Amino acid sequence: MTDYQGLLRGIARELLSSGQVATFIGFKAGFDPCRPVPHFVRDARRADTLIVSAFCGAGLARHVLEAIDDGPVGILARGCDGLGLERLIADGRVARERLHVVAMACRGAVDPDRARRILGRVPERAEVDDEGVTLMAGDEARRAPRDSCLLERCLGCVDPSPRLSDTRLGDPLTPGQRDFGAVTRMEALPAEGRYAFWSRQFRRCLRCDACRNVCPACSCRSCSLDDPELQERTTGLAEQFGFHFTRAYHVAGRCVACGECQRACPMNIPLSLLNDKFLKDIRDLFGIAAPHRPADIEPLALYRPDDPEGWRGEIR
Amino acid sequence: MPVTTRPKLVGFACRWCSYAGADLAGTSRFEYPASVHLIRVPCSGRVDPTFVIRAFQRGADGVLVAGCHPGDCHYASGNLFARRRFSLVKRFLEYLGLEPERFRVEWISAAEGRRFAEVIGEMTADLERLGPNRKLRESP
Amino acid sequence: MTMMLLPGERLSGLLERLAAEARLYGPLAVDGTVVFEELGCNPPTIEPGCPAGSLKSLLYHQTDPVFDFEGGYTDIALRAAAPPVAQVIFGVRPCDAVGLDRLGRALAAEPFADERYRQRREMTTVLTVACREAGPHCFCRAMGVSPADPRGSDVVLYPADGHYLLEAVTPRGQDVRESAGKLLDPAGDDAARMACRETLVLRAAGLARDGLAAHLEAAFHHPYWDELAQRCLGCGACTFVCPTCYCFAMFDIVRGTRGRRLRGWDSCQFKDYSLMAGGHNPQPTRGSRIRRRLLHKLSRFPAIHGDWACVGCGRCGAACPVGLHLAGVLAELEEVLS
Repeated sequence: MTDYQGLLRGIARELLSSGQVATFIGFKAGFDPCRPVPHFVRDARRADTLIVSAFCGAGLARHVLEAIDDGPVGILARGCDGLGLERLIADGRVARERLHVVAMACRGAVDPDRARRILGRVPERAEVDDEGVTLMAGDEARRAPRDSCLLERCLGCVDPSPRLSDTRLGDPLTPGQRDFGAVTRMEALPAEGRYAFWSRQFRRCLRCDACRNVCPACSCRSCSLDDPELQERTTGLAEQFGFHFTRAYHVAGRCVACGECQRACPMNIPLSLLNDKFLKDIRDLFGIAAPHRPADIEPLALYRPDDPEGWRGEIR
Repeated sequence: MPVTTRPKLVGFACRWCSYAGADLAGTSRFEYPASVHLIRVPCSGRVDPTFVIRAFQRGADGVLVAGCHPGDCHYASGNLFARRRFSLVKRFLEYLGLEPERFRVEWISAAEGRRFAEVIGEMTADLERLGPNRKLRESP
Repeated sequence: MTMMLLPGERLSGLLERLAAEARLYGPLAVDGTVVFEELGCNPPTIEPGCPAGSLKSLLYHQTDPVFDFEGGYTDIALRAAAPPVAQVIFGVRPCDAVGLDRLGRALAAEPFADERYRQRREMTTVLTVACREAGPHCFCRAMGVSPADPRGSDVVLYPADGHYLLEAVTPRGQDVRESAGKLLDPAGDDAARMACRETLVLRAAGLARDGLAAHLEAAFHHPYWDELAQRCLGCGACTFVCPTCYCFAMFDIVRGTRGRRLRGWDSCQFKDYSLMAGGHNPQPTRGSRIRRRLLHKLSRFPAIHGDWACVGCGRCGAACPVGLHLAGVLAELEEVLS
């Protein structure tokens, strides 16, 4: 396997010591061996605290906002981070020329909880390839299929390498196609079944706002979800439906399908299944394929005179 | 004394076409159910989907968004934005489990008093058949 | 207290008996996520560590009506919210039970008792299942809580192979034992309890020490908090899953001439939480808010109530989208200060 970690440290060191960037954003080892944490490096001598591992699951794009005021930012980006960065650039939050993107080819990140269930103990190391995942702890190693232990968002990944790139780590991988299988299965349920499903999910929502705070499309300085007039603070089922409708609708047309919201949700609410419904309908009705490239015009900020009336006929 | 009618239908009607269409239905003495609570908006493009959600939360059994026919918008393109928006919203509400009959979008011109009466009649019949809405509705 | 033995196959019998007397709640996997729910006929989901959902949601509701009101400016009629009903919670972990003890010190103590909480606490029977195995995020021992801790529980069940050892800790617990009647056998030994006491919890064993509060207060002006703030997303996940966090907000829902006043969870991590009229915010930065939370748990709360407002359940680490674990933050702080 290519030593991405060594290469990354070298690149970060060079960017920082030459003054090209003021901050480099990557990962460092966390308290939990299978949860590396986002890491801001400002001193070239600290570049060797950066790590790359199969457990690097958190998105990094949103963290750029924390550092961009201090000067140009270097950032490790997987495909999902790249999409998030494109979003922030298109939204005018970050200038492209203030970013140095180290684009890493990524085959998926391991979900620490799924991996633990498979291994029966906390995994210490993991390797991901196209065929499967090897989970390791102590001198024990186990092979597992990709869909049993990767993060949910990695399973539907269509952008394994970012388009946005200043330096590449690894050759770009072939982009995939979104199939929206889970959305189609949901649509096939009767209305009562769909309502029961979403009621069960929304009931456990804590309203912690992690889904919003982690989202690269939710970077508004002031948010309607914070306004008690617009978003009631009660947590009855009706208000939870309202909250989740608003969150998903407010990013519809701008969602880059990175899946960070779902990964961040402490209650494991399948938020991507909401976003994907909008993405699918935008594709089916307006012919704009998902994920929408943020650089393009936004689907809900334009129209065509001959747009279809999406309320006619069945929901599919 | 407030008169409670069931079903409760909330209509958002564009000021230029559909609200005038409702007026025409009235002056033409067309009969339609008293179920509709009409809210005049400048344009169907003014209708934020939050209005729709809020109406359901506060007890509406059905919601209608009505505007000018595409091409006839007083502001040239308001209803064309609304068309995209509510195409998605309609499907999304059904995706969450709402019955399709409870939310409708219709183009009703100022000349279509008859059409307005028909739409209100159809929706009211549908809502009567479905019964009171409980989904998305806040607990009393 | 005498120990009794509950054979594993009679657990469902015990749960049935409990459900006949009060509403029975317990940890339940809902689409794979374990939360405290009404059990009904479902067997509880008991996994190593504590459930993702917090126990406090059953006693300190996410939103809780206080009273309804009706009328105009001069003539307002108030109606108190319906009183809580009796509930039994089975399958609580010792850390969560101790968490109730801590929550009670803040919420149910004079002179500022939260009447709703106190009533609900009095109507609640807690049946704890002690831990034979630590979960991936557990660090209870570091916070002075043991995997066999009886504090806050009415009954503790110590799991062993094929049976539980049952200990009634409080008079209410003895009622449970008596109503269980013939479901219970006399216990030969208390090996199961001893085994739970020995359960290995590896994490951060050195955290609980004298002077931790002073150590944290000394770090008040350290730039570490702002570094931490860059990683933190400023969401409220850690506070809402925490068994001892109790920040709240009061708000009114008004519909015409009627309305309801509610108390709902709020989070000290939200920027609006400490915002005052006129625009002043004593906790203006994310760093200051994280610092405030940690200092409250480990310095200010102990100064007032005598114990840490952290029981080492590790939910914060499990819930945090960017992997910030309270014990991890302490370990990191130790490192940057030395």
